[in-house]
Amino acid sequence: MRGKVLIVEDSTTMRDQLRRALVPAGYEVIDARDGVEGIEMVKRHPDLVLLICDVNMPRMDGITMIETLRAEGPMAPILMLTTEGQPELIQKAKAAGARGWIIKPFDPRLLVKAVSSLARPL
Amino acid sequence: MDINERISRITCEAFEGLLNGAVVSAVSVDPTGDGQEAELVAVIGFSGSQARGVIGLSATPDVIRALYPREDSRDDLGEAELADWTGELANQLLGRLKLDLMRRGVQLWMATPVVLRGVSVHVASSRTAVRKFRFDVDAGVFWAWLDLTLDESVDLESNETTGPGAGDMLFF
Repeated sequence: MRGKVLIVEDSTTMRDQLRRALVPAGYEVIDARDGVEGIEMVKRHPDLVLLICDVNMPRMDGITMIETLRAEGPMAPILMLTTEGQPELIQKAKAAGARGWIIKPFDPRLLVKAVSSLARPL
Repeated sequence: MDINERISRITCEAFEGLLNGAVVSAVSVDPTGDGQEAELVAVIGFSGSQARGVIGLSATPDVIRALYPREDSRDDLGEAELADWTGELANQLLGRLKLDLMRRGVQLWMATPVVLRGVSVHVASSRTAVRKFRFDVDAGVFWAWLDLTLDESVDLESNETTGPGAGDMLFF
């Protein structure tokens, strides 16, 4: 097992696609439907090797979520996965500690490579 | 190319990119023509300082299922998953339009999609700025419409800059 990845994404079909890309690659996958759940899951799973996070979600968006988490202390690397491409959002995510930004749709093989290179070592 | 033609081209290119080779034909159609018994409809609103509007798409469940990227999962998609995927398609479509418009200096902020089931969509009036499109795919027909209002100051033809596109990965 290569470690635990948290997916924070409001679309069930996107969560399914991500899971089906990552599980065969050896990752354990847990998920959350929005930024509020995402924060709860991060606190409950301090052993995460990576977070994959959408931007536009109900209740709490992804940028706000990672800014909130960053204020609370160091955490696993973050990869944003979104349809957004505004430079201002990308800069905000980078400033909040994100290590990457993927614009949907994602290539499963390239996603796994990105996760492998960014994930925290076990 | 006038602005309507430009918007139509941008929209068709965004759909064709989204459907990744599945589109057999793409045409702009009279928005006040017959409505469609589409069963699944997704709409997303958007706004910015220079543009605002709504984008929508509609199709039957069979077409939506056929457009799911994982062939091995298509038969497993229930009603809820099909509705979710319809919303995600609308989300990704608007995302592509946004990126194209962003390269032309137009910034948009978008809401999350709303998915309606068991409805038909009919554009009521030719007086609105609604543009409607028909995309033929192997599994059937996929309809889209765009209600876009641009400020007069927007020039879609000039000053196109480079910028990220769908599928791009950036690392920091």
